Amino acid sequence: MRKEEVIKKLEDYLDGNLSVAECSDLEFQLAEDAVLFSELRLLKELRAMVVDEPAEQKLREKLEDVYRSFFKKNKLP
Amino acid sequence: MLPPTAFFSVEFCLIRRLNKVILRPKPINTMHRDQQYVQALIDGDSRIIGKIYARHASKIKAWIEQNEGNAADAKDVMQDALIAITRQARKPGWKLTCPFGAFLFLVCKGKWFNELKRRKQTGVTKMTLKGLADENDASILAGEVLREEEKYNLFRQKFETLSEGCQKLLRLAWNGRQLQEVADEMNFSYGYVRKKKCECIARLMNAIQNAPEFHDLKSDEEKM
Repeated sequence: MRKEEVIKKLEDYLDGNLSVAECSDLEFQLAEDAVLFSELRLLKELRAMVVDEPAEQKLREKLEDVYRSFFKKNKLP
Repeated sequence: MLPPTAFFSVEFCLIRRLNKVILRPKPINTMHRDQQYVQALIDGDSRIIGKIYARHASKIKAWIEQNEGNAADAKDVMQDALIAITRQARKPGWKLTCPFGAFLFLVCKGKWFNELKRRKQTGVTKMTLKGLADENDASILAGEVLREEEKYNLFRQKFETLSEGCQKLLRLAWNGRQLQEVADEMNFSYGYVRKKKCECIARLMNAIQNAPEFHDLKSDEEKM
């Protein structure tokens, strides 16, 4: 299978778009095939990175605010 | 084989008692009470985040200044360390098993070693892990954060090499938008978006998997 086809299958799996039969077939393949399993793991990590972007940006802004007010109060650079 | 009376002798009772006290396995993976600081980072609780700065910023700043850095470096390192810790702590099942201060300090130290190596244009990965070789909870947790951070930076760097169109498509699709909505927003057909999405992901995954750092990180992970 070409890489794009594998990705399409894994994306459908993660989005819950596979039928019960397709899903169990893929899960069987994942249990057997370490390379396919590591592709799924990488894909999940990449999705998480993109999904967490707004929360991370918010935290960065929050830390900046707290840092400013903390150092203003303590007269540190 | 011990005679039956041996089980009641003073020595035997003493040995059993000592075994219980000395050899009792130390509870592992117990959540530390400082988990509250990690939770505050996840929740964005300004008051407790303020306490983190109040308790640890001066020590981190002093250490960085003693090691070729300045106040601005200390600020960046501490901020990036707190973000990396939060990223790790968001993972299901993760818990803090050591004092927060020691953990944060080790993450900052590892990040600063990496930054110094980057500025001197030498490799980064090995130093991070070897610099934290002590087998205590804080070192182990800090090592994990630093390794994940390197992986994250590689993913981010490769994501940013994708075309703007690919980045936008993946951001929309992975944030739960239906592909038809993505197609409408980007003025493409549904079929094109579906095909393009897989192409963009394949490009990203290939770029990551062909990077030498990815193999180093993978083999470090396998050693754990």
